[in-house]
Amino acid sequence: MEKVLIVDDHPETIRLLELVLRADGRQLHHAENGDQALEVARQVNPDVMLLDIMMPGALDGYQVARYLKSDPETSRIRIIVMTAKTQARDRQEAFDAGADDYISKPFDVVEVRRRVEKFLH
Amino acid sequence: MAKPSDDKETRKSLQDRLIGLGERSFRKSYYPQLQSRLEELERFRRLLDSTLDAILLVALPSDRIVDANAAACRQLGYSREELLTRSLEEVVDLDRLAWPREALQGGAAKMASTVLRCRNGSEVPVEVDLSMDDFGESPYGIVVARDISDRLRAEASLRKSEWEKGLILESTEELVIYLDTEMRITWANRMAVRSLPVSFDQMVGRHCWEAWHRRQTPCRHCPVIEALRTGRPCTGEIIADDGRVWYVRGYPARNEAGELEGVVELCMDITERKKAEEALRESDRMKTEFISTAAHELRTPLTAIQGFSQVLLQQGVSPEEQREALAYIHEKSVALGKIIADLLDIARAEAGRGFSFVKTLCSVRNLVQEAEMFFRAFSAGQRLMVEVAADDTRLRVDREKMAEVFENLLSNAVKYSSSGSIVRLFGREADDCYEFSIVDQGIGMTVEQVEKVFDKFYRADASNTASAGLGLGMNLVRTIIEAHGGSIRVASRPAEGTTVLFILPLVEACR
Repeated sequence: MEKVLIVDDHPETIRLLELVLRADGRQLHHAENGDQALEVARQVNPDVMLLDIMMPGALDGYQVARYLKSDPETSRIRIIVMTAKTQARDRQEAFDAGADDYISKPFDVVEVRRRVEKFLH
Repeated sequence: MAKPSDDKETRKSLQDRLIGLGERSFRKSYYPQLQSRLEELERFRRLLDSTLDAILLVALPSDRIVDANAAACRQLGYSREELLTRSLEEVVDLDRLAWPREALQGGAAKMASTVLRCRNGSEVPVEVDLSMDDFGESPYGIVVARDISDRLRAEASLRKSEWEKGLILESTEELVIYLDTEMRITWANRMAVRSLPVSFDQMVGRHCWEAWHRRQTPCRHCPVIEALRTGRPCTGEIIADDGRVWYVRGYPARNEAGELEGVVELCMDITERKKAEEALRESDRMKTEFISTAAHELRTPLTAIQGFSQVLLQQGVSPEEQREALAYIHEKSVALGKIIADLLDIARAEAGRGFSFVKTLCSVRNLVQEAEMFFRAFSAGQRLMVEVAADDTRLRVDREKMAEVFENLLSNAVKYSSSGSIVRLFGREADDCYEFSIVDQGIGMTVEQVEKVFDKFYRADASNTASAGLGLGMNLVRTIIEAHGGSIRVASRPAEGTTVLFILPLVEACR
């Protein structure tokens, strides 16, 4: 069973990604902030995680990525960072935090599907 | 002018007179002595005629000229014969002297300046030496006059250039100081003297750092010392003890032989300029951040619009899902429109052009009802309590803009309060205004944050939230309220909550 976790504070983005990523034999989960993301990730242990950076609350996406990657229980989760911030240093910060890939918003839905499925196989 | 041959003739006639006619004189024994005497006279004559100074011999007390040298004749433009018929006063301006009766007691030479009056009417400025002597029994005055017109011209030129230099040095805002090779102060302009705690006299001879910084050691990295050391101009910035920033330049001064004689120091206070530069940098930084945030805010609804429309173009979407997707596209397009409108409003307000207002009569009740609807849609667990008096009061306002005001203030209240807390909306009449207040029980703000809350791009909450906005909300709100003739203020205490109070003027006719 493939498991994908979508983390974004915008409900419409979650809905969009659900429509894009749904497939037979695949479970989709979501979270709306950093704390929830950690909780669900530890519970569900997804294969791939789409992670928004700019979220309310104490934890932003970079910190979530760092926590998950430094915990042996969750370090194998592939993390694709999503963000509307597209400067070179934002990409660098994402990879420094341990992200496996980076996609900028607004995105091409075909591209998103391809990137996620790359990590699932 | 007398020709040499004439002189010879005069001598000869004198000779004849003294020794009788021809060589057959009974005074033959005196002849050799007379001859050498005459030759001596001739030599003195030549000496007197060779000098450049004009020499006049004047009989006193008549002032009649009895002799004049070649230079006198030349300068005055008269022949000797013509001069001998004139009095001194005709050729020398005596009014400018204390002539000689008063001045020459004791016979010592006195010097004075006056002018020669030439035959052609021109005047030559001269320096005259006056003395008196007795030749035989009568007194004579001796006038030696030196042409000083060149000297006067040179002095005038020097004075003019000194004046010009002084003008330039004193009119500049810069401090100009001339230092010797030991860095001791030789000269300073008025600005420099003014900037010092001591007088100029106390400065001269002191080291630059003693006079300015009251130190015994030179400033580090002083460009003036560097200029002296390297022999080349140097510039640098020095921060004084009082925090002011100076732009300092040192220019080595060389004499005609090319040797280093000293150094010119120029200082300019650039403290204000530095502050302005810093403010500009800060402003640029804020603008860059604003643009970056604005881009992010615009991209967020665009993600939904682009994504859902792409999904719709693909297969495999049920009719309900299609409707859902279209609804999102529509909603986010509207949101995008609003963000753009906000940005444009800000831009217009910045440029000084007015908002586009459409004022109509609205009742307080209607405005509050719209605010309540907004709150219900966007609350995150907070409750809204409305206590509005005289809600049939009518106000002349732009309905849409007022909706924006309420939306901004209520969404702030929601953003900064926890779920379950209460947000209160008050309304009441006060004097000739209507007063609204929105009170939350949220995290509140510090005094500093309250001060800045209306600043453009200012966001009290540093974390990046979904509904964060551009930090323009409060600025926009204030602009809208003030454009309606009202005013707004904020009171807050950390951890206790925030109150935003604004008033709008009443419309007289419609009570």
